[in-house]
Amino acid sequence: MARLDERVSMPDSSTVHAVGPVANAVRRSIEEAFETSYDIECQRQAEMTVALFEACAHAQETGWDGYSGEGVRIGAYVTAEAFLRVLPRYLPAPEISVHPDGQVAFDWTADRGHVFAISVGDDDLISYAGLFGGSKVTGREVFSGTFPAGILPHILRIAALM
Amino acid sequence: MLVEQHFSLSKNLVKYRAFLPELYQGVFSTSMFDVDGLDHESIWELGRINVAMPRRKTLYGHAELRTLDLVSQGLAVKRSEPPERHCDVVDWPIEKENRMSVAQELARAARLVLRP
Repeated sequence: MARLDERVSMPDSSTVHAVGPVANAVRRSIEEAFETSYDIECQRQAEMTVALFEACAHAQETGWDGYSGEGVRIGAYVTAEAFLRVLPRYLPAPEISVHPDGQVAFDWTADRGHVFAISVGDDDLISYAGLFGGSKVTGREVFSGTFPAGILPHILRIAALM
Repeated sequence: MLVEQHFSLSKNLVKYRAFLPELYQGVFSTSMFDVDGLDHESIWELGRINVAMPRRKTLYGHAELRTLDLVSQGLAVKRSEPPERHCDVVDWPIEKENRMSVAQELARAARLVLRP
């Protein structure tokens, strides 16, 4: 029978002090959940980083696309990697590619009429364009190392359909 | 289309990236072919000889658009031969975000045709 003082809350505070078999079991479950969540996020981050690396490795030199596509610039790679690091974990992972101008692109595609795309280069500007059925959006945001809040609603609109 | 990432088989669509222009001689331009009046076999042959073979790449398919789809986005189609039937799609916006937006509209209108 659990006692009243076998309280369990967030693992960084009172859980540590909880006693008894029930509290211990719940604490283990919570810790495992946190570890699993952390592992999943780490795995997702690793997969996105690999996808970025592969896309850039494929587009290193001018003409990589069979035409006159510019090779991806190191600055664009660095900015893109920084962007992925601050991408909220609740958003779907984007498709990563390189544009013919050497910029790195992040795309979310639900269907042909619902798509949102971000393009990052070797400066601190992010260009974006989205198609949402009958409406569309374009714009620019400054990327200073934190996720640009202005683009979040656009990604969420597409994510809801994916 | 020479790049697998330019289309989605599962979603049966052409991705906007397939239409993004390249900066060629100071002008943003997308390379296309006028296939009016050609049967499927002739279109494949046109792509194989003029697009895939010179680049030693695999031809996965092509995207079909009407001229109206291009013009309605403010683009212009200019004949640019040789090769025969080759066209440059020009008059793209200067701003990157607007080029992406136009390409997204083209992708919405395009029909994906994959190699049999």
